[in-house]
Amino acid sequence: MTLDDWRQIAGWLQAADIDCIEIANRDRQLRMVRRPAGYMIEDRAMAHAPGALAPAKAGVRRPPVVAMAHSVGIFLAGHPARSSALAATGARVQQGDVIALLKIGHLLEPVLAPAGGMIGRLLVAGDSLVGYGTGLLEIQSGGT
Amino acid sequence: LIEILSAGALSTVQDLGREGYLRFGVGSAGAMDQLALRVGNLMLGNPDDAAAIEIPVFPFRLRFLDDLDFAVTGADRGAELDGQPVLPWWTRPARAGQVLTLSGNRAEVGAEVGAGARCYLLLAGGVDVPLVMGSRSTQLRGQFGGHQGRALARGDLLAAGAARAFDGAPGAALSARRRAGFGIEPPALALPAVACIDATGPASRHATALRVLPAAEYPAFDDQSLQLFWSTEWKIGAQSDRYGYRLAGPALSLKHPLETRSHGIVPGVIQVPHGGQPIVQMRDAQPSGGYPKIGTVIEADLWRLGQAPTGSRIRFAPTSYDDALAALDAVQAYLDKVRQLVALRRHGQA
Repeated sequence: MTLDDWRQIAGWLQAADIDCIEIANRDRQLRMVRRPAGYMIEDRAMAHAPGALAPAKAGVRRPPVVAMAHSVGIFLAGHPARSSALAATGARVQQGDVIALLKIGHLLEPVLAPAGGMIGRLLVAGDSLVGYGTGLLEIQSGGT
Repeated sequence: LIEILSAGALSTVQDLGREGYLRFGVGSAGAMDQLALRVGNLMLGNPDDAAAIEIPVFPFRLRFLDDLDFAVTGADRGAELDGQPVLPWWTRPARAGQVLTLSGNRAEVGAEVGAGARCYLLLAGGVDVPLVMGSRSTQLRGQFGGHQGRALARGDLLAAGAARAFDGAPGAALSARRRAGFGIEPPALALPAVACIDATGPASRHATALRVLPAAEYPAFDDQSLQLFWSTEWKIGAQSDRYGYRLAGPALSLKHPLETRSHGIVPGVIQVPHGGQPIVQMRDAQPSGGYPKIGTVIEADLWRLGQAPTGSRIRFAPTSYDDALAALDAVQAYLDKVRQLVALRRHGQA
């Protein structure tokens, strides 16, 4: 990530009135925290247990494709002005369809189906705060 | 360029309105839901005073003759682009040849949002019609402004003003994310209406609550009428349109007969003619009138009234001048946040 990326994230956080964002992988954890002077970045090495993330067993069934959050935001399964979900479990979707929303302040960003197929499990509860890269919904693609 | 394929009656070109000409007898006109217009223009990066199409009757269909970004705001009436659903309060690009349909079918809307009465279609660059006295709004009474001073009809061609480039050459492929567009949280959710609670209990969920300031002749009404004014769930009568809303409910009466001269009135003013049934003046109201004025719907709530369908019920809640200004500040804060978020989003994509 470049400094400009961080500046942009800081702008988003400011606009959405969010105090802290945490971005982590196996090795590092980056936190951006609001301080009186502005957003500060904290960088930490992760003390992860080797082997904690065991590789998935090779299954017979094709693993589902996961639609992920492309931004920090609040996960919405449906449009806030409507009472039904955009794509309920079992619904057939095409690649690029809007299957959920991420709410960032007053902004509603679409979550797009990364592949065509059938909507499987919801991986997070509706109205919960999710981070960048969080898996949101499973799509069982093709074959069935 | 867009072509109107079928226009439900009384779709008109409207912007924020024609201000400054009431003293010459020229009404303000302009969008009934100014917030829907403002948010749509913000989503598209348009100037605040860009004009849009206000659609009160469905179905409505149009064809895009060029590649063009558009937005739909206001009432949620089943927008579809070539059969693909477009979410409410949403913007996305359309390709030349694509057809946008507002079926009029009401989606399963949440209770706090309501169906709404008017849908707004906005184009990147705004609807390009000539400015008349500083505005592009259709003045139906005077038959000027907007598109030839009249409601839109089948076959009308409307041009969009100069807009930011559609990214690259016409026909160039857009990313999936760009094609999908984005939405804005509707103001009905971001700016909840006040709760009307009094001795008779809370108003029913289906009555639109509107904050009202007492007007000049308020003290001239008898006590029972004043009490009824605040406690009644008024029904918006069939004779309601862009000129004004006639309300059905108990008759309101004055303590003594009152002779008033005609005086200036503005949208939001609630007059009580001889029959005792109030009339709320709306965007196409004539600029003067002589009936006693019992109150004025505050500017910050006029968009809610603009979206209240004929036959629906409204309720008046007393407010103060300071609270009315604070309510306007809250609307402005919402718009400022929307502006900021859209700018950040655009910056992030550039």
